[in-house]
Amino acid sequence: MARWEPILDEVMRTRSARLLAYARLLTGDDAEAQDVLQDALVRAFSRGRAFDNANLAEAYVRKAIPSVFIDGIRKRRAAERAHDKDVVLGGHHVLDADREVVLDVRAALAALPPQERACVVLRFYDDLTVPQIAAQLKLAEGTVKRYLSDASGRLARILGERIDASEEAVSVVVPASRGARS
Amino acid sequence: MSGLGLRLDAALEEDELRLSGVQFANDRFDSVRGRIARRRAARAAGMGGASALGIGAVAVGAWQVPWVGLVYGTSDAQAPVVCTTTTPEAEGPPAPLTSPEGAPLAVVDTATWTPFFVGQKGTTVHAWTHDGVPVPLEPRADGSATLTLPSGATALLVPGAIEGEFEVSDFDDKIVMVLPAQDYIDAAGTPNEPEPGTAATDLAVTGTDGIDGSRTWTVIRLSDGTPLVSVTRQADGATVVGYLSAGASLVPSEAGDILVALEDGRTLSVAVAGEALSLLYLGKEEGGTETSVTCVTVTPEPSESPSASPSDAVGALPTLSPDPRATASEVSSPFQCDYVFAGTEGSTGVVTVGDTTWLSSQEGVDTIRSFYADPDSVSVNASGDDVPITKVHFDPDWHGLELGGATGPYDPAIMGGGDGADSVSEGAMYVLAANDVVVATYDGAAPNHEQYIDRDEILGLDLIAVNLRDGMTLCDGVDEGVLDDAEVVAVAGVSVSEWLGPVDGPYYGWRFIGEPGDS
Repeated sequence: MARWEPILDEVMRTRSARLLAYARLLTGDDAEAQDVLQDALVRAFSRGRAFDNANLAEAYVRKAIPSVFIDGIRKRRAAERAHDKDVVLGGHHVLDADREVVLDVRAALAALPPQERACVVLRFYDDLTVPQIAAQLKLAEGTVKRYLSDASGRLARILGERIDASEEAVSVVVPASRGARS
Repeated sequence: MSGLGLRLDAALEEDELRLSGVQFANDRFDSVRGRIARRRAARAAGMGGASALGIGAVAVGAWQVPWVGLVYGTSDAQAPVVCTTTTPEAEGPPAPLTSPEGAPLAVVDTATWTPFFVGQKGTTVHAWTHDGVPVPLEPRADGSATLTLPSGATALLVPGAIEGEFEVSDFDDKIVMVLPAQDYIDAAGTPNEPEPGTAATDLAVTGTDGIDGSRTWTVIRLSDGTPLVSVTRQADGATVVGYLSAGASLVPSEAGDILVALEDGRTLSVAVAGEALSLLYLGKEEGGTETSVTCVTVTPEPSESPSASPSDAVGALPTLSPDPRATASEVSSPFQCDYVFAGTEGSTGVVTVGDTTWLSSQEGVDTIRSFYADPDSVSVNASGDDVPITKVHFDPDWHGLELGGATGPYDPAIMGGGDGADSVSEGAMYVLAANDVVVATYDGAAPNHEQYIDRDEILGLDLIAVNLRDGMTLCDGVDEGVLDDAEVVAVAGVSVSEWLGPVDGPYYGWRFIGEPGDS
């Protein structure tokens, strides 16, 4: 048995429930959450990294989940674009139709386009900063800010409360540039 | 945690209680394990993702490079690769296997690491287990045969016209490894334990070529797929050790050899010759090998600076740090002060700079503001100058990645990996050039520069800059008057690096965009 297999086994048996729940925040769907987690496990364990314990492995798998989710979205972006519009419209429709459903944060998340959903989960659940989100999702900070800004507007409408999406007001004043060195 | 964060936490807790991790494990463990094993094997063989740029396994010198003449099957390899069963002229252990077809190849099921040996007799391909039991093959109409491995992966065996020469490839989206059996495994099916003074057959070598003329080899332990050491031969011939795994250290050598002290006390000699890397275990190292050396230049001395000079022209691309452990380190693009453009447009691949549209100052401001959900919260001060928007395109077939995004007015630098994930880096910016020489570069502290994704184009971005010239910093020694005649150049770059893997790129593109009224 390869060195990594016992750790994989432990992670899958003892940590999968929480990892699945985390993935479901992003996917909004149990089956898709399983697929995302499976891919995240493969990604995390395929790097040649020697995990010493399940906690470390779980952390990497968890970190890989949003990236896997976003990568999947990117690969089928064209189809998702149409889907996104439907979902967004669906969200507004739900707002009018069933207040109870709207109050469910999961329904609110489902009303967001996938990229915005991922940014919201990383920002509000994982408490990551905009630069950290950008790094994890391989997005530019400006893109993350825009997603959070857009998402906060939608969530505010659906949940009926003000959502402060970013650490600071969105501004186009030049951010700390990764290309700007002294 | 915010109110929304608490709601998310509650939702997650609820789902955690509802979802069964054990069921997930029962359903998917085998599948996950198999995929990981194949990926690690492919990675060890240098066929994973970006590293599929080339494998530099060629016999050189007196030593036998591990995996000489190997063929690595991969789902990406459409064309089968010809391999031969000719016994390598190695000093390695003689083939201990008794086979009916002479020197065999080992087709290794990477899900279980079970080897199956294949060979050709006459025009027929055979397969057998390590104890000589024939393995049934599924014949195909074209004379080839399919070997099905325990994991379900398959290898296609195609007999050649000459006895002893046949083709092995995989298909059905599975990955197998094809190794020279006698180098890899003994008669009992156990991987050979390398002895001091022998070729390092427990290691694999991958090689990638840089666009700057460099070549980097990474030595990987087959036991766990982890990198051990990487060596880069720079364009100027200098050889640099860029990466050492934890526990390994360099041993100073008066002869200038690359000697790596391993955790188990052995010393690995690494030598670059031609397009290959030869590896040889030298035996136990006497005495301690306490050394903090992490990088050594063998010969000749490397160039002092990778930055471009005016005489470097377009070929002067930056040298990548060969150390893949670099943590978010960045390397400047070549488009710095004094860089000389070789033409008004160009590309080294993957990324190209397209057309520019000039907007009025107000249109530029409105464009930027409109990109935000709440435009009223966005403040943009414009000088009144026209605003360029330049399209930057990325090759959609490159790594299957879809790039693009609001990257900010960044230098098209590359960013090293090291955060545990693959790293994609792209950037674009404007510079000013006079007589094809960069005379001013973007000042990252200047306000009112922004770029944004073009929502209608998946693989591209629009580079927009308000107050373009105000946001530039003159290069040293450049007279301000030069700016009157300086031209605006849009430059872009992109690269991908895998975690502890090779960097593909950076690739660069540029285009002189003219002046307002040109479009």
